[in-house]
Amino acid sequence: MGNPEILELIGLIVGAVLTLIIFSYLLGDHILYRWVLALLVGCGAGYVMGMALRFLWWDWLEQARAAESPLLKIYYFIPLLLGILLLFKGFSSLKILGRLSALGNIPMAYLIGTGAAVTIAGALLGTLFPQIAATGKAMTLRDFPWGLLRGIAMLIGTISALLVFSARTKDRDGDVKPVMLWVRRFGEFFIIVALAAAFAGAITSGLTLWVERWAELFKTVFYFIRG
Amino acid sequence: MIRCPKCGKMNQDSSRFCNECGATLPQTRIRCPKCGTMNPIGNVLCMVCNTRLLPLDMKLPEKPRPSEGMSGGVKGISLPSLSAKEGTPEPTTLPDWMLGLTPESAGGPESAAADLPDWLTDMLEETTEISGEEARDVEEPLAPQELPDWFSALTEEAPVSPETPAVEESLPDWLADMTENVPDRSQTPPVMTEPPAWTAAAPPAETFPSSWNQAEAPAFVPEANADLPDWLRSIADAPTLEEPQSPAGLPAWLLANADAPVPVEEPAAPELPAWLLQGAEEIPHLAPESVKPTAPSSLSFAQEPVREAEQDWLSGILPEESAPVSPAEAEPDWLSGIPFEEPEAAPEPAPPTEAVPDWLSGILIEEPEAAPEPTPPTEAVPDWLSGILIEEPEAAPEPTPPTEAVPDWLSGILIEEPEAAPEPTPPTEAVPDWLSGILIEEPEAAPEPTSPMEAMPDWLSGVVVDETKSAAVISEAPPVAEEMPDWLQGLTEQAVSPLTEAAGIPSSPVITEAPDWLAGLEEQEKERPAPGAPVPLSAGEPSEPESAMPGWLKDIVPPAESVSGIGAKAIVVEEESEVEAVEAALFGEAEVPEGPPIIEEAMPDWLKDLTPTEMPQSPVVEEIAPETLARAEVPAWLQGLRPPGTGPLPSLPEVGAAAPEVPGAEGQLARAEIPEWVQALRPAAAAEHAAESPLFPDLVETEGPLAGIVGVLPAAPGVDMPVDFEPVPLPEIPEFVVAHAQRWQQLLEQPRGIKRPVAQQRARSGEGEMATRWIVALVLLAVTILGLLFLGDMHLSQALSKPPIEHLSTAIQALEPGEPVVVAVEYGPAEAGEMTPIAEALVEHLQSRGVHITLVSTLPEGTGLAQGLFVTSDVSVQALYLPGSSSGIAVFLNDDLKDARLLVVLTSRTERLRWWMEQNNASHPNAPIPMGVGVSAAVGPQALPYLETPVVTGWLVGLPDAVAYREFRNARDISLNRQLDVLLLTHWAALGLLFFGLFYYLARGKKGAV
Repeated sequence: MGNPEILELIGLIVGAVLTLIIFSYLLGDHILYRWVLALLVGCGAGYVMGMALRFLWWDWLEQARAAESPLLKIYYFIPLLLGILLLFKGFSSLKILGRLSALGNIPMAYLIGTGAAVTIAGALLGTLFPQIAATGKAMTLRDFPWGLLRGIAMLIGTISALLVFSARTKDRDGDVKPVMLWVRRFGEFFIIVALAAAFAGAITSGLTLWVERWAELFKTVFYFIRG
Repeated sequence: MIRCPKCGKMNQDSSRFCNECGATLPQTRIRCPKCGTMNPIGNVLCMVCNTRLLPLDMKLPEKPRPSEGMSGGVKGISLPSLSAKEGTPEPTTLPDWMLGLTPESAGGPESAAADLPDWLTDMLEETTEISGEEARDVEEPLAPQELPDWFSALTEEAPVSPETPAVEESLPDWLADMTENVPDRSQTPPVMTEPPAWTAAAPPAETFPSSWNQAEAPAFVPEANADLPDWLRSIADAPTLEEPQSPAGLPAWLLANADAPVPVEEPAAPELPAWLLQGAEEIPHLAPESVKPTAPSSLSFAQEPVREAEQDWLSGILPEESAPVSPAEAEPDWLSGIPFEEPEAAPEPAPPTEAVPDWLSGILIEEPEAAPEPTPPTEAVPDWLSGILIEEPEAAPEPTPPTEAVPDWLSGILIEEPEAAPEPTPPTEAVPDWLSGILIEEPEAAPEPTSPMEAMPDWLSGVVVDETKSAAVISEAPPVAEEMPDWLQGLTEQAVSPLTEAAGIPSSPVITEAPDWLAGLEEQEKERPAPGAPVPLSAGEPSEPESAMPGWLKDIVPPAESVSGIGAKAIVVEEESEVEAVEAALFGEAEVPEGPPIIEEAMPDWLKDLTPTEMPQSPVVEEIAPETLARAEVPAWLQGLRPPGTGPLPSLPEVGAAAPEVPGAEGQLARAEIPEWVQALRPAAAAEHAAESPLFPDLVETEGPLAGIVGVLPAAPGVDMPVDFEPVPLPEIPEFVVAHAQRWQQLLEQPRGIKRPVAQQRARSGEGEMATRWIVALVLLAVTILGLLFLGDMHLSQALSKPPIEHLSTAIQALEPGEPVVVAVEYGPAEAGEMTPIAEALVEHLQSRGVHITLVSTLPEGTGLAQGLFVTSDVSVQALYLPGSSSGIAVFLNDDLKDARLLVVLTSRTERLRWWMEQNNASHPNAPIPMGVGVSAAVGPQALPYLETPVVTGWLVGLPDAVAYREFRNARDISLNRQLDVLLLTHWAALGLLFFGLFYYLARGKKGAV
C-alpha cells in the first residue's frame, strides 16, 4: 500500500469517525458532536481564508506583477488599494488607528453602492419580471383542464401568499377583516405547502447525505475487508 | 489721512502707527460695536444705528489737534497769552476767580487735577495745551504763507480765493459741520477785502495803528453800510463818533483795566488791579483756598514788545484822566491785547498782521468755518470776536431780527449752536482761555432775545447776567431790546460764570474797574448788601459813573430796572448761595430807579439807539426752573460723558405720584426720559381705560409691563393660529394599542429589584424522548445499513426521466467540441455528498463532448471542490474564484462569458442560483446564455420558479435526477442506484416514524408528550 493509498485510508477512517460523531447527535448533544462541529466550522473558515489569501496575495499580485502595461497594473492595483483601505475598518476599536478606520468607508461605500446597483438591476430583470411572466404563463389552456387549474392555483396561491404579509388586511383595531381573513388563510396554506415542500427537500437532502455517508463508510470498511 | 504728530507724515486712515517714524497716531475712527460703522472719533453715538460708542464712564477721547503745518495757523481762540519764556504772571496779579479757571493753579496741574473731577481735569489739560500753542503762535507771528486764505483776505486787497483752505481739511468734524451750517456763507461772494464795518466808524488813522490806516487798510465800501444794523450805521454815519479815537470814549472800567500791570514787566502784586485786591480782601470767604493764585495760561497775555505798541494805541483811546498812566502798567493783561499794535512799535510788523494785530490773528485763525467763505456778516464781525462767540442760541436757528440787528462784525458770535454741534468738542478749543470758563455754554433758550440785554453787546451782557439765567430772562424780555448786540449779551451773561465758579471776586472787575454805569450799580449795592455776601465787593470803591464810563457805554448800560431785574432773577433763581451773594453784590436786589440813565448826555447817538424805550417788567422769578436751566447748561453730549460721581443724576419722579415740588422743568426732564408711549403702556393707567377684548375678555395680563391690562391678546393662540385653522380631533387610539402601550409602560416602570421572568431552561429530556430518539436513530440506521449491505442488485427505485433532464442532456449533447462552457460550483463541503453525483454526471457529459470547461465559484471552498471533479480525469482545470458575489458574477458575465454556449450552475443554495439567473438576464437581456442547473433536493422546490424560466434549458434536482440523468445517457452507476434504493428505504422509514409519532400523539394526547 503506497503512500497515496495510506493517505486515502486515513482519510476514509477519519471521515467515517467524524461522520459517526455527527450522527451521534441523534442520541443527544454531547461534547464530541460539538467538537466535530467546531472542527467543521474551523476547517471551513480556514479553508476560506487560505483560498482568499492565495487568490488575493498570490494570484492577484502575480497577475499585477506580470502585467506589462501600466494601465493593466493600475487595474490590478486599484482593487488592492481598496482592499487595504477596507482593512482599516477592523481598527475602529483602537484609539490611534481607530481614526484611520474612516479610510475604510471608501471601499465600503464602493461595495455597498455597486452591490446595491447590481442587486436591484438583477432583481428586476432576473427575478421579478421572470416570475411575473412565469406566473402568467401558467394560465394556459394547453393542458386543459389541469393546466388551467394549475395556473389558477399558482395565481391564487401567489396572490394570497402576498396578502398574508399585507398590513392592509387589518382594520384600525388590528383585527383582520372577515374577507381578508379567509384570503390570508388561503395564502397561509400555500405558504405552509411551500415550506413543507422545502422541508421535504431538506429532509431528502439530509437523508441523501445520510445515505451517502454510510455508503462511503461501508465502502471504506469493505475496502479494508476485501483489500 | 492722519498726520503724524511727530514727523508730520500723512498716514492712511485707521492707521495706528506712523509709517515713517512709528509714532502712535491719534485715533480717528471708532467702530460701532453694533453695526460696525466707522464713526469719527468725537462721535458719542453711532451715526448709523445710534448706538452709543463710548461707555458712560469713559472720558471723551481727545480730538486730534491739527498740527501747525497742517492747519497753517489754526489755533485756539484766545487773547494773547504769555509765552513760556516770559513766564506766567505772578499769582497775585490775577484775581482769584481767574485763578480758579486755570489748571495750573494751586501749584500745577497735578494738584489742580486732584481737586477737580476727571472730566474737568481733562478739559483743563486740553486747555492748557492749547494755550501753550497759542502762546507760541503769538511769539512767532505767522508768515504770510502760513496764514490761511481767509485771513489773508482780511489783510490783502486781493480777493480771497473761494476755495476752501487746507485749514478746513484739518478741522474736526464738529467744526466742519458748523461751517456747513453757517447760513449763506458759502453763497455770498467773499468781500473780505473790505474792512469791518465797525472799523469804518472806528478811530481815525492817527489814533490807530498804521495797519489800520486808510492807506493800508482795505478800501471801505460804502455799500457795506447797507448790511450794518441801524445802531452801527448810526455809528458809521455819526460825524462826532470818536469813541475809539478819543480817550474819553474808552470806558472807564476799560481804562482802569488798562492800568492793570503787565505781569512780565511788573509782575509784582501791587500791580493787581484794585478791584481785584479789594475783592480778594473784602470777600475772603468767597475765595476758595484750594484755588491758588497761579496765572492760568488762558489768562496769560503775551508780553512782547509789540504789546507796548498796542498799549500805546490803547493809550490813545484811554480817557484823559487815565492817559498819563502807563498802558503797560495800568492795562490788565487781557485788555492789553485789545489795542491794535502800532507799526512803529512793532519790531517785526509782518505784512499780514499789519491790518490785524497779532492778538487778533490768533483769534481770527481760530474761526476756520468763517474763514474760507467769508460772507458779509463775517466781514463785519471783528475778528477778535468772531471766534469768541461762536455759539448761537439754540432757539435762534434762523437769523432772527436781533441777529440781523447785530452788526456784521458780531454776527460771527452767533455761529455755534449747542445742539448743532455734533461733536463734543470742548468749547475751550475755540474760545480764548479767559473766556472758556465763561462761554462754555450758550443759553439754550434764547429764541427771541427781546430783553434789553440783547441790545447790549454780548460781552457786556455776559458781565451783567448769569448765563444760567439769561435764557429765561432774554426769552421773557420785550422785543425792544433786540437791538442789543449779542456780544454784549454774551459778555454780560458770561461775566458771572467765572465769578461764580471762582466763588470769589466775581464783581471786582465790574465794580472796581467798572464803568460808571456799573459804578452806579455799585452804589446801590452798598445800600443793599446782597444776601449771602456779607461784605459788599465794592463797598469801599466809590466811583464816578459819569466820568469813568464813556458815553457810548453809558448808553449800553441797561437801565436800573433791567439790571435790577436781571440781578433779581439771578439771585432768586440761583441755588448756590455763593452765586447769589456774588450777584447780589454785583447788582443788588434793589431796583434801580426808573428813568433814563444819568449818563445819557454822554451817550452817543449810536448807543442811544440801543437804549430800550421801555423797561421790561421783571419776570416772575419763581417761574424759572433752576434745574432746567442748570441742565440746559450742559449739552447732551457732555452729560453723556459725565463720569460717575461728578454730579448727581436727576432722579426720576414717581410715576403716578403727585406733581413734584421741584420746578416743573425738572419734572419734565424726568418724565421725558420715559417716552409717552411707554407711559401709556403702564398697566395702572392703561388698565383703567382699556376696553375688554371681545376675543379674550377674561384674559388679564399678570406679568411684565402690561400687567393689569385686560384683554391683552395672548401670544400663542392669537398669533400662531391661522385664520382658516380648524382643529382636528385626535385619532381614536385602538384599545389594543393602548393595552400594548400600557404593558410597555408597566414593564419600563417596573423596578429593577423585581425579579423579571426569564426563559426557563428547557426541561431535560425524559426517558420517553430518549427512547424516541433512540428508536428513530435505530430505525434509520437499520434501514440504511441493511439497505447498503443486503439490497445488492435489487433495485427498489426507478429513476424517472423528466423533461428537464432530457432537455439538459440534449443541450449538452448539442455542444460542439471546443465550445466554451462555464461550470459554476456553488456549494460547499457540507453539501458535497449530495451535489457531487449531480456535478459528476454533468461534468462527465461535458467532458465527453470535448468542450472547453471553465470552472468558477463565488465560494472560496467551491474552487477546491470544483477541481476535485477532475481529479480522476486527465484534464486539470484551474477553478476561478469570483469575489464580490453578485457583482463578481456580473463582471465575469460581461467580460469573460460573452461567447459561452452553456452556463452550468451547480448549487445547493438558493441565492447563488438567483445571482447567476439575475446577472445572466441583466448582462444579456436580449439573449441570455442558456443555463443548465443542478441543485440539491432542498433547493429544488424553492428554485423551481427560476428553473421554469426559458433561460434554463434543463435542471437536475437531487440524487434521483442525477441517477436519472445517467440512465438517460446510459451511463449508469451501480453505487448511485444503491444509494438511491437506500434513500428510498430511509424515506419509508422516516415516513413510518412520522406516522408513528402522529399516532402516539393522537393516542396519548398532549400529556403523552414529554
